This record gives sequence, C-alpha cells and structure tokens, in this order.
Amino acid sequence: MNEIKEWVSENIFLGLEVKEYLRRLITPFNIVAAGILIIGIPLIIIRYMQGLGAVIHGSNDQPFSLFLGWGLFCGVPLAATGYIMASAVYLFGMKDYKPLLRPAVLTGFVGYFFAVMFLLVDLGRPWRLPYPMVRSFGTASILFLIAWHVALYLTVQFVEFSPAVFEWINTRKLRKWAEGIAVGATIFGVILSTLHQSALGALYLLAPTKLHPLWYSPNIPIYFFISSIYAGLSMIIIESTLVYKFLPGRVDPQNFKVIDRLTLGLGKAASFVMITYFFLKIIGVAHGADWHLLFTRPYGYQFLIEVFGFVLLPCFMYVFGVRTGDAKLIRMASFASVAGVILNRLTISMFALNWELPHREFIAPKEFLVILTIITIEILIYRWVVNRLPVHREHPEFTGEED
Amino acid sequence: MKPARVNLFILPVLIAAISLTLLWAKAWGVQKGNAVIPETVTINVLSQKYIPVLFPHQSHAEMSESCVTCHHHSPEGETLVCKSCHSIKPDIKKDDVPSLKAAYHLQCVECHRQQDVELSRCTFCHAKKQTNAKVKKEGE
Amino acid sequence: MNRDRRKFLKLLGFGTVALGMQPGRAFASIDDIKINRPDSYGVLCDVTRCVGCRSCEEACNTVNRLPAPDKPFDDYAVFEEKRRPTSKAFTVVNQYQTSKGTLFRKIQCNHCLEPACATACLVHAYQKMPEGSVIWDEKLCIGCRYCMHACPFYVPAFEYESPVPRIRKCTLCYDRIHTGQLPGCVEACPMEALIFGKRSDLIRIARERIRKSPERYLDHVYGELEAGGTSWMYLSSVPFHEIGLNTSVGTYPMVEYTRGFLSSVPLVLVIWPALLSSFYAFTKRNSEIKKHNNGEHKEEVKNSVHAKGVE
Repeated sequence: MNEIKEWVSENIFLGLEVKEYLRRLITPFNIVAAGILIIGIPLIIIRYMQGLGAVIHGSNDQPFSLFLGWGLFCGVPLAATGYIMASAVYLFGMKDYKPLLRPAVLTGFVGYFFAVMFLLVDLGRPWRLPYPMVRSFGTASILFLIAWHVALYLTVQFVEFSPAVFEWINTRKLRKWAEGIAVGATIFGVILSTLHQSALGALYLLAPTKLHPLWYSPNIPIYFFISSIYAGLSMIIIESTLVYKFLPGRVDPQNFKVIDRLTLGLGKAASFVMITYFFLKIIGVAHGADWHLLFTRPYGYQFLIEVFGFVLLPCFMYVFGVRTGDAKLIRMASFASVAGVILNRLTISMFALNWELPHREFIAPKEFLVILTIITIEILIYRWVVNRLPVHREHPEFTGEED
Repeated sequence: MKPARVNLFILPVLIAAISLTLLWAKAWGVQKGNAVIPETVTINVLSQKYIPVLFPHQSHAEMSESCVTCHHHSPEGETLVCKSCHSIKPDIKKDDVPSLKAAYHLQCVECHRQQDVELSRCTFCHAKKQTNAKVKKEGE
Repeated sequence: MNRDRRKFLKLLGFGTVALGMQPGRAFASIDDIKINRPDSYGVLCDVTRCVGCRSCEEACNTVNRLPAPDKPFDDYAVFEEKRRPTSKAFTVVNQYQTSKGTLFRKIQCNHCLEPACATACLVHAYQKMPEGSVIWDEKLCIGCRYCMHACPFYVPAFEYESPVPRIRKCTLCYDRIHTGQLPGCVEACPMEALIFGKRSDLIRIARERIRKSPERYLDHVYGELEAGGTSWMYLSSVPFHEIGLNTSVGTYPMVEYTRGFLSSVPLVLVIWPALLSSFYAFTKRNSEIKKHNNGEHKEEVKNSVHAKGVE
C-alpha cells in the first residue's frame, strides 16, 4: 500500500505535496487553458443534446466543415510522426535519433487518439463508432478502410509507446516484450500509415465533380501520403523545439548537445521529400492540362501561394539551413511546412471543394471554439505525459537497457 | 372523408350529367359551321382535390381557328370528346397516349402558360376543394 | 529475429486475406446489381411539360408524412431562389430562365444504377433494391455524412437539428411501388410530366418522343448514361445545364474512380512487409559488417601496435 502511495506521490504529483502541486498549477498558460475549457466543454455538451447543427457548421451541400477539416484531415498527417521516426530508428538503423523516437511516437499516439475524439463529436451517431468494425462492413468504401486502419494504427502506436508506460509503472517483463516486437510493430505501422494517409486523399476520388481541378488528381492519394511524410518530419522538429524550450527539466541533459544536429538531419530528409512533392504537384497540373487555371482568381493564386510559398519556400529554407548548419532556420522552416500542410488540407476539404456552389460560409465561431477546446485538452494531456513518463528522458532504473 | 366511395358514386352520375349537358347544348347551342358548340362544359370526371371545372367552351371555340385545334386526331367530319381516346388509367407502353387528366392539362395549360404564367396556376381553373395545404402556424 | 520473422509471416497472412478483398469481390453489392438492369423501374421527367404547379411536392409531403412546410405548396414566390432537397422535403421544383423561356425542373434522388452513396457508406447502410429504389437503413447509419459528400447530385439531406440524426431522401416510394402503386409525385402530376415504368420502356418512350417532335426536345435523355445510368431520367428542350443539371458528371459510375486506389490496397499489404523487412535486413547486415570490420581493425591496430612495440 505504501509502495503505491509512494509511486503516486512521485509519479502523479511529481514528488510534491498535493497542496504545493495545486498551487503550482496556477500559471498564465493554465489559466488561459482553463478559460478555453470553461467555454468549450459546455458547447460540446450542447452539441450532444441539441444535435450537430447547434455547433457544427456543416450543410447539406457541404457536410464536412472546419471541424472535420481540422480534426481528421489536418490532425492525421500532423500525427504522422510515429511511423517516420520508428522507421528511421528501427528499419534504417539511425540509432542516433533515439532521443526523438519516443516523443514522436507519443505525438502520433496523442494525435490519432484525438482525431478519434474529433470524430466522436462530429459523427451524427457517435455511439455507433464501432459499427464499421463489428456490425456491418461497407467494403467498397474508402472510409471503411480508414476506420479500420486508424483503429489498428492506434493500437500499434500504443504498443510502440508502451515501453515508456511499462517503465513508468516498473514492469520489466512487459517492457521487454514490448521492446521485442518493436520492429514488427514498426513495419505494421508503416503499412497502415501508407494506406490510411493516402486513403484520406482517396476520399476525394469519389467526388471528382466537386473538387477544383488544380487540387483534384487521380494521384491525390499519393500527394496525401508524401505530404504526410514531411508533415511528420516537421512536426518532430516542432515538438522538440517546444518541449526543449518550455519543459527543459524533462529532457535528458545530453540531448541538448545533439538536438541541433538531429534537427539538421530531419531538415535534410524533409527537403528531399518536399522537392519530390513539389514536382509531383506540377505533374498533376500538367496531367490535367490545367495551366490556364493557375492565374484565375482566387483558386489559381491560392494554389500558387500554397505550392510556391508553403512547399517550395520551406523546402529551400531547409536546404539552406542544412548547408549553413543553421538549426534555427530549420525550425522556422518546420513551422512553415506544417502551415503549408494545414493550408493544403483545409483547402481541399473546404475551400476548393464545391468551389462552383454559390453561398458558402466558412466562418463559424462556435466550431472554432470547440476545436480550440479539444486542442487545448490535447496539449494539456501531452504535457501531463511528458512531465511524468520517460519520453524525453531515460527512466533512471532502465538507463542503458535499450538495444 | 371517403374519397373512393364518392368517386365511384359520382362517376356514372357525372357521365350522365355531361351527356345531358351536351345534349342540351346541342339543342340550344350556337352553330359554328355544321357543328353544335356547347356554351360551357363541366369537367368533373376526376375531381378529388379540386372542384369541378366550369369550362367556357364557346369562348374558347371562338378563339380557335377550327375545332381540331383542341379536338385533335378526330376523324374527318367528327369532333371527338377527350375521353374517346384518353382513358383514365392508360397503359403508358401503348403509344405514349396521355391519361385523361394529363390530356386535359396538357391541352389547356400549355396554351395558358404561353399567354401568361398566372393563367397556368391550378386555382385559375379550379379552386381547391378543401384546405389540404398544410402551413406552419404563426409562432410554431 | 525470430519475433520479426513471426510478425512478417503474420503480415503475409494478413495480406493474403486482404487479397480476398479485391475490388471485384469487395463490391459484392454492385456485382449483384447487373448494370443497366432492364427490369428495374424508373421515372421519366419531361421538363417541357412541367408548369411548376408543385403538386408533386405536396404529394411527396403527404405520402411520406413529412412536416408542414414553411410556405404552402401554392406559394410560387419560392421560385425566386434555387432550392434543394432537405430533411423535410424530399423533392423540390426549381424555376429556370432558359434560352427557351421559363422552365421548371423537379429535383429528387436519381436512384443511380450504381449509386455513389452506396459505394461511400462504410457500414453498407444503402441498398440498391431490385425495383430500382436506393434505400437508406436507419439501423446502421453512424452519421458520418460521407454519402452526402459522394453524391454528385447533392441529394441526401441530414437532420443537423436532431441529436439522433437521420439521412433523408426520396425512396422512389419504395413501399408504394412494391404494392403496385405509383410513386406519390408521379400520381399527382397533372401534366403527366412524370411517367413511371420499366427503365427500358422509359428510354424507348423518350426516344420516341424525341423522334416525333425533334423541334421540341434536345436529342439526349439525361440519366441514360450519366453517372453510370440513373433510374430517374430527364427530357428537355434546352441544354441540360440550363435547367441546373450537372453535365460534367460523366458516364462512369462514381465507384469506378476509386477502383484504382482500392485495388492497390492488397498490393501494399503484401509488398510493404517484404520491402520494409528488407530495409531492416540490409541495415542489420550493414551494422554487422561494420562491427566485424571494426573488430578486424581493432585486431590490426593491436597487431601493429604489438609489432611496433616489438620493433
């Protein structure tokens, strides 16, 4: 009993007296977060009591609004960190990236978990979420594929992250088992990620008349998959930047010495992927013979800004950063790249979809507040885990035990 | 409300009514050429939602060049009434001949629409029998 | 390595199972529907006959026991704006100013032969019935609204205002046609602008009308081939886009656009494990060679030092 008490005090309350712990919770960030939650959580309750229309801005013509546009279409590529880092460390043997492996897997797990949370709010009948898994199979549907793969991938991500959990609760045997299947889990995770990242793009194959020709292409699944790779790489850079800045006490001191070099490496990889993606997009325009659409208002200019300003430009920033060994430039480029992916996904799911329909509204304050609420919860949970589990640092009792 | 019963009852009565009306019109009606043109015709065969139509036959006859403008596909020297060829429930596969209800409307409304769209509104020719229209009450 | 081999074999097995989900078999529901099924019913809508009386809207409302509308059915001011089917109105009539004057067109579910909504639904909540109706099943729907995204005609409507929302759309009066009756709108239309019958008969009648009155009709039956063929077809005197019909829908059923991607899924499931395992194997091999070389190098250094020492 005493052992458990001790463990709770050490690992939940961070070794502080409960009173002291609660007092330390009062920080500017936490106050703002609490404010957002106080407004947002009642809105979510209203959504369940009064139906989707009370909060979500979807219409009959455009059923997917900003809510799903952000939660699913942006959330999933931004959570692509897990499979990329796991591939790098386990499949390509880049052991020096170990310090970034667990954070990447955690980012991925939390990201996918909250994508499902977004779905639970957006689905008309969320209590039927398991239906495509157990009740009735619409095997011709790409959404069916996504549902299965996200469910499986969430499990895989948890298995990949479980060594950290097992270290935290001090179960050596389980941890050893989890570490043992890491390679297999990684391979499975890459397969699942390939398929569902591209499937999110394939959702638009079924609506060729609705998506603007500059974004529509039979290769849209490939675009989504490739952009998820550099989105994941950039997110790893962003995550480490933020944690090393705001939670430095939770990071192993020796990591600070290598993080810049690792960041440069990630930037190099991202630049390769982005230049590939840039040329794929150009090929897409050529394939559809849509050159004349490039200078139309507003969609042509939107496309040019997205491809040149938010793909090519960050790509060059990465290249220059690597050339000159400037980790700061790499970090700036990562923010720009992620912004570009968000822009691309929101454009495809909202602005460029149904572009020929009149009277479309995108400004939805209530929806925006609920999104902000869920993001806040996501950040709070992420921070809670990083503060307690051996994510950015090695657990003192398991140091040096990784293979 | 038992519309089916009312229909079955009205049908033979109205067919008799039309026939008598036509006979009367033939006896007293104005002559155009060799034919006898009834002044008004009460069209009552199919009325369920709308009251019978009091059709000003004579004024329409004067508007048209000849009887065949409306009494189309009549053999030489004859003027057939609509239900001679247009049955109430036809077989669509058979030569695409409209039903009696459709024949009335296609013949009348097409021309009315060309004159003025207001003339082609349902209630211009026949008022509604009862308020079937469901409208949200104030404050609902 | 043992564990990885086990995982690899597991994946191969999974991949083989996935091969069973080839598009040919995955679309079991569509294989069941013989394309261009001549026995299924449909409706031919002759736009030249429609006068915008809205009797069809009223009949649909009555037959389906829908709630009372905001404006009555004899209010013709509704034509000032373009409407679409909603959760409370399965069909609407719109007015169009065309090159041949004012025309009216009725909008409702077209009951496609290979419906995009049925393809899209991840819980198979849509079924194409042998009579022609495309029906939505309330017992399965999870409210994801992907069917609304997929429908090229913007037909399904969603009850955003309900905590237990349904998809609402025309059912081609499935219960009525099942018992030999006409769909409500078809029965109500005073101009017989709507005729109900076997799809093959309707196409024949449509072609015959075009042949008899070529000045009245455009030589095309919309819905004969569009989106792979629909049960509801249109005849018009003006180009179809003038009456609000989408002429860029193409003649493929929507499902064809996803076949390419879906058939690549089993390929990935089988090729990726082999590919990724080989990356792992190459990496391991490289690191072992490096270790081995380092070991030899250490030996050499030791030997040379020793040699130097001896010298």
